[in-house]
Amino acid sequence: MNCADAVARLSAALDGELAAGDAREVQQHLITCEACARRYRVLQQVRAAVRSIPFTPVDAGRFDAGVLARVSRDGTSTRISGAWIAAAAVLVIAVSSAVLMLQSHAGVAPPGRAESIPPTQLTETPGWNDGQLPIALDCGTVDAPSCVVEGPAGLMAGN
Amino acid sequence: LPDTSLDPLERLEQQERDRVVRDALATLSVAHRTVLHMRDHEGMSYEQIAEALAVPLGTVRSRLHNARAALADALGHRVRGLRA
Repeated sequence: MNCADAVARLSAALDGELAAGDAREVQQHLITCEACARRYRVLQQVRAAVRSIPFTPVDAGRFDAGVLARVSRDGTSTRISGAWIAAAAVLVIAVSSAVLMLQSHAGVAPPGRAESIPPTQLTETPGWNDGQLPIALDCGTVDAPSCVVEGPAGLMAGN
Repeated sequence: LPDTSLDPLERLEQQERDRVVRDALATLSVAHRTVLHMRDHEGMSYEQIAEALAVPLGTVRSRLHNARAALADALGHRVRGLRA
């Protein structure tokens, strides 16, 4: 195996994703080629660096990929059939009709729009910041024993 | 969350290392960051990544290698010499 062939396989070798025969050839090449052995060590360092990050910056493209990956891995997806939608619609209409009939019979005015929360009562949540994850710190007091860091589930570094 | 087992100086060094890696990651394309995240954070196999992204297995292999090579370049003197 020459250097070009080895380099093309180094990442897969590092990840244990080579066939046994290929892995053996790469291993033998690394014993005899210091340049490729150095490249392999660099790959190890790069992988360690990526893994060391507590969480990964997320953008829309990666979020989509993460969702796709999760669905693909779980092998499950929820499909709602037309029959269920029709049944749900019938149920909503029936309940709404019953409520309206009861209200008109009892002379109860329909409920108005719910009052909006004054801006002063809204908790300010940090938004997107230079491509970093939005992080909400839920600390009751300054000297709280622990603070909960919230972020999109499944998008934090897993290992 | 910061590692509370480290002393303040070690914690600062760790934060600086994290910042350097994040800055380097930010220079990569979305495609490269995606495969790195799927492999090194989510622990997905090449086959799972290929299926999720709807690309051939060989594409995953080369994209991951190129992503790591690009990251090594972005990290500069900290890691050097990955390119053939």
